[in-house]
Amino acid sequence: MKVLVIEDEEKTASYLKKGLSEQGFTVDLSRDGEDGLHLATQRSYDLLIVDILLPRREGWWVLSELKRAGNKTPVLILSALGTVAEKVRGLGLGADDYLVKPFAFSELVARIHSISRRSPTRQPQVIRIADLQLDLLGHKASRNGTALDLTPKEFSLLSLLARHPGEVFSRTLIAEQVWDVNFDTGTNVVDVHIRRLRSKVDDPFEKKLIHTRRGLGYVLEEP
Amino acid sequence: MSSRNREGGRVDYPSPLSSRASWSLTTRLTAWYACSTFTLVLAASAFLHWGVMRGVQEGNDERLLERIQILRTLLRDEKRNEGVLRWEVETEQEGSESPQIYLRVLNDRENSFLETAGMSRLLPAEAFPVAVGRGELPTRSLRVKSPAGRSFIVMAAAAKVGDGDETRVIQAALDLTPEERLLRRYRWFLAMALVCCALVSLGLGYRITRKGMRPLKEIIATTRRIGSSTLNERVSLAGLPAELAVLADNFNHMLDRLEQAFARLSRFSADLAHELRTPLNNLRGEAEVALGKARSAAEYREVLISSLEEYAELSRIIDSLLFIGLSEESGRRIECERVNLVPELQAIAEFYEAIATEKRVTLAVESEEGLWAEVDRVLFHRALGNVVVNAVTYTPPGGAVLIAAAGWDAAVRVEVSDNGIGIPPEHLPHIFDRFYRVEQGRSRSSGGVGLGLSIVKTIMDLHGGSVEIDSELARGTRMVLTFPQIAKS
Repeated sequence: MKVLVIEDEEKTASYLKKGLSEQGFTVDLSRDGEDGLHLATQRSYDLLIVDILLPRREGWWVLSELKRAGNKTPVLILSALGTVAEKVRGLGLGADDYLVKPFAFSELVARIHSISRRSPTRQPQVIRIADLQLDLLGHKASRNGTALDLTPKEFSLLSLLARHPGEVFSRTLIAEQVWDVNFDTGTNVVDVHIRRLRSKVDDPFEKKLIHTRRGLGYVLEEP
Repeated sequence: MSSRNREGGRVDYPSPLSSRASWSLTTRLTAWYACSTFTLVLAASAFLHWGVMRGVQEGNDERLLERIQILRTLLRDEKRNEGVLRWEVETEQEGSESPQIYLRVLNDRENSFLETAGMSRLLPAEAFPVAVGRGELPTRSLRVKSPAGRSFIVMAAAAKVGDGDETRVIQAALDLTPEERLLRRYRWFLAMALVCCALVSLGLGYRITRKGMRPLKEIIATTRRIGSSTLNERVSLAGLPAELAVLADNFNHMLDRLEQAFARLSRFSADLAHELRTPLNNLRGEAEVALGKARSAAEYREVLISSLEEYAELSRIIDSLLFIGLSEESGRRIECERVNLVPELQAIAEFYEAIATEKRVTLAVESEEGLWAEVDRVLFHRALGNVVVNAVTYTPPGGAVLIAAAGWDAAVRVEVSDNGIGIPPEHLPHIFDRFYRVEQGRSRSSGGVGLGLSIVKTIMDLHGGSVEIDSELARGTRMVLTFPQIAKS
């Protein structure tokens, strides 16, 4: 997956490139809006990550130029500007997501995955990871043939993690996706919910599937 | 307070007097005053002048008519009165250097047989108008100029001699020279008086205006003095006229608001600096210690993870402060929608129930069905979430937290009550202040940074609602959020 990062701040650009490369993306960097737009139109990318406050031309300009040219490449905005009006403006100009600085890197990765998935791929009806089996239509989960007794929210939490095995989900993203809580609660509520899920999904079994990535979030994968 | 060092940065604005288009108020009022006074005096003088002129003219006409009458009477018996007639005409002005009235009597053949001395030189017979009939009197005199340039008024009238048809023509003239000299003096005096009056009214107008403007000047002087460090100064209302008192009062109110906003801003920066110091200090110290000597990868990882937690904390503080700050700036709009409260409250309870259960605190929702409220959903959740977390945090194991909602006088009240440890009464007035913590030494892990309730207050303000708290030590706390404008289905 090819990603173009248009970001003028050296450190940000460099850790984005490093981090995203390690996540398996091919990353190009651009330092200003004009150059960025040029690259975006000349080469073909799967995703553009655009800062708003850029030298020479701002991110808004890049977005509207892309929109004018009919370029359909997904765009994720990374900006220190975080008011509702600015978010609305960004999304109105065709951006697919808007992340306010400072952000958690794991969240950025999760959102990139979520954008790349928006292209219509059929969701499987049944997910199998190790001995875990999830029936997404019937809302049933089992391990090793033993049915797990989960509440609806626990099931959606588990299926969120299981649909993307190996992907780290931040607490904020989990709260947003499962409980529709669109702000940082600053509490450990998500941790407690995960703990409860684990007590049903992992504790009775030898093989642990849900893992904590300290400082980042949670991931479901085969050990 | 950190932001008291900005005084003295006064900007020199271009003086409003420098623009030609707008005169100062003093100039304008003075000009108006002087103009109106002068116009009045001018009108009065013009009227007086007209009156005097008219009086003089009427007097002159009467004098001429009187002569004509006398001559007519004398002419009726011309023969007998010849001596008197001659005396009357010729010696009229005897004694005076220049006779004022000139008379001439013409016979049938238009020959003059009697006239005042020197008259033919000044006023030949042709200079007079046609005589009016014997029985009539001329209604108006005619103004003529002699060849020498002297002004006269003239009249002519026919007169009967005896009982026959014989007719004489009487011509009478009045020399206006002495009168004109008098009138010239009069006009000159009038003009002098007018000029004086104009000057005096200008000066007087200026003085009156200045006096009237003095309170305004004082207000201006006060406003000049007020800078960021003297925001507590106010315009004194004592002795101000009513109109200016209103202005000054409004101005003082504006200063009140400015002072409050300024104080808030100062406090904001101070709080911010203070609160950012702790996590930054941790980050720096940990990094320095970690770099102090070579360590294992696991140890470095520990440091990084710990710093990640500090970063998250820093982000949260900044987000919260920006949220409160931007909202206090006012003008921030919220997007309200009609929300069915029961499912909403249950969803919120379901989310936070995890931490309650873990603490062995029960969390329950109690609400009438079909209760709707106009709220911003995300903000509503955030406010209520903060209150619930607070309640759960300060309720010991075995306690209970209850979320209850009810419609109440065109408002929706959402109550969160617990039977926890309560809050000492002296803290209650400050509980919604930014960074206020009941226990100053409480660690961040249990109490956060003290922004939770400020955010609740901010959200309620944004909704035009209110938040109230009452609490009793060891009995529990009750927090009431009131959202106005409900529509009940």
